[in-house]
Amino acid sequence: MADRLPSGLRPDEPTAPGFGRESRAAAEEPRLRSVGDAATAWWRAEGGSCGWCSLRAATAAGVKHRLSAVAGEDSYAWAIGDGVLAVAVADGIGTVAGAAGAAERAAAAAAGAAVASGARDGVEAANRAAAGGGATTVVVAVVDPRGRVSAARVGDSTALVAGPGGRWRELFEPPDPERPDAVTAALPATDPRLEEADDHLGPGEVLVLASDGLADPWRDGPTTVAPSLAGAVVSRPSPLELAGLVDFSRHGCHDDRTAVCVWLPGVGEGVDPGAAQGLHLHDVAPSGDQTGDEDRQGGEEPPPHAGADE
Amino acid sequence: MSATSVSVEERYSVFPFYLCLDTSASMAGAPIDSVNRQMPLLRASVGEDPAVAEVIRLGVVTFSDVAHSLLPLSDLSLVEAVPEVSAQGRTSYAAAFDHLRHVIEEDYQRGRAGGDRWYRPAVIFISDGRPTDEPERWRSALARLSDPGWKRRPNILAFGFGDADPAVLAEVAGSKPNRAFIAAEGAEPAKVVPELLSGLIQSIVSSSASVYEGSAQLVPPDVPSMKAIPVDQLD
Repeated sequence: MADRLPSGLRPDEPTAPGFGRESRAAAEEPRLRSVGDAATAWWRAEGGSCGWCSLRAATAAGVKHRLSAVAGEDSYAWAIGDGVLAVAVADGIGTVAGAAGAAERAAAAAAGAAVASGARDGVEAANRAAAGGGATTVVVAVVDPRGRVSAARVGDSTALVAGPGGRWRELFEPPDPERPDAVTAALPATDPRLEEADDHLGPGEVLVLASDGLADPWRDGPTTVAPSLAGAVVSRPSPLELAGLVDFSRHGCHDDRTAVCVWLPGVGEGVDPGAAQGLHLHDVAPSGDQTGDEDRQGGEEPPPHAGADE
Repeated sequence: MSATSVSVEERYSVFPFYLCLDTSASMAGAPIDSVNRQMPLLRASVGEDPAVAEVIRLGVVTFSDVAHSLLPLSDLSLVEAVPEVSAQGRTSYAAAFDHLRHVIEEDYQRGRAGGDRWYRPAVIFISDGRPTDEPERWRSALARLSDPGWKRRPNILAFGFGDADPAVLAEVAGSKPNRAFIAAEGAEPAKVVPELLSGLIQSIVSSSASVYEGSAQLVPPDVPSMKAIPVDQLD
């Protein structure tokens, strides 16, 4: 490739971990986008604490997007209500124009509605929001100070609970490992394939909402990715540390990755006073620019996401 | 935090493509010359893009009276050169299908032992002629390759020119829409073959991109001088 860039983004001692077979592509220097801004940054991270919960959120655009100089298509949002926290992750379907905008609107709508009236309503709000163009998955969870979690989703974004010792469990049915080419459900849809799940966070446990770019290698790396990430998030990393964690290098794993993590000191460890004083959660904070997406198309149903057969 | 040893429990997704190329005597001359000119381009285009090469595996199967693997299923970034092909013999579709059935299963088992997790393999079938074996023979070989009970059965894209029969190609591709293509009337093989292999490169790159986006798709090659073979509607 004659125009290959001269140096890799990663230094000799990379800050992001590598799990198993490392990715040569992840070591390549990204191609600078012709225009960029904070709202569409390839790496985004934030976090903070309120009286009863701590949150960290991070997203890293996939390697392929970085090498192609295009923005990522994952988004996240949260909303604090009266004694509840709603968190959402959405993953735009890259084959449908306007995917990033759909994910951004869906995540914000899901968190905003779920905090008021529950996870199921969050998905319904996301479905309406996604109708403005593009297509997306969404997963939304509502957490209360006692650790009760109710979650709902459409598509393959998912929710996990990580615990001490690298333990973890999934809230939803994992995909069939014999069907890696199965096509995900997505919004908007006239009859969304809604899934719901409930859980309860135990002492030291962390709720993790994840796009499939993170969840798939987590499942596929039972001796590397899963124990390492589960162990790391339990210790409540800083936002930038979480961004580094989700940006791990792994052979063939180049999708956008997003994680939103929630800790409840009331049922686990105590709130870090520094984090509580220095950072504050906002009412609704989508990861991208809410003003819209250039690819937005008015009111059309997205085309089917035709995958490989069967 | 890097791990140097990988447990067999670890899985890495790969998308296998098999180029199944007719090298019967009728392919001699311009078609085979085009193949030999284009294969290094394919190797370079796919093998030198690390994001594509990490996911795509390519094998090349040739067939005439018999079939064999010209290039075993490979990471093209590790392949120095693809051997040249020469044309001879007849057009045994049965030999091609039986060989594919065998190597796909063998490659899958070998890959799985090494931690690979397969997307459904794709076969790009290219022929300039009708099968010279008995219909029952090639059809039974095709049935084994397409057996719904065999989990590794590939998606097949079939391309034909010269004396290839559109109805046969449609059958090879499972009678699915946009899976079988025939050269437009009067299209010269010397023009069709380079277009086809260029389209294959784009198909592989686009298919690998869909893997990165979390929704793997087999993207058919775009070949301007070929048209999709209509699929009959059953009563």
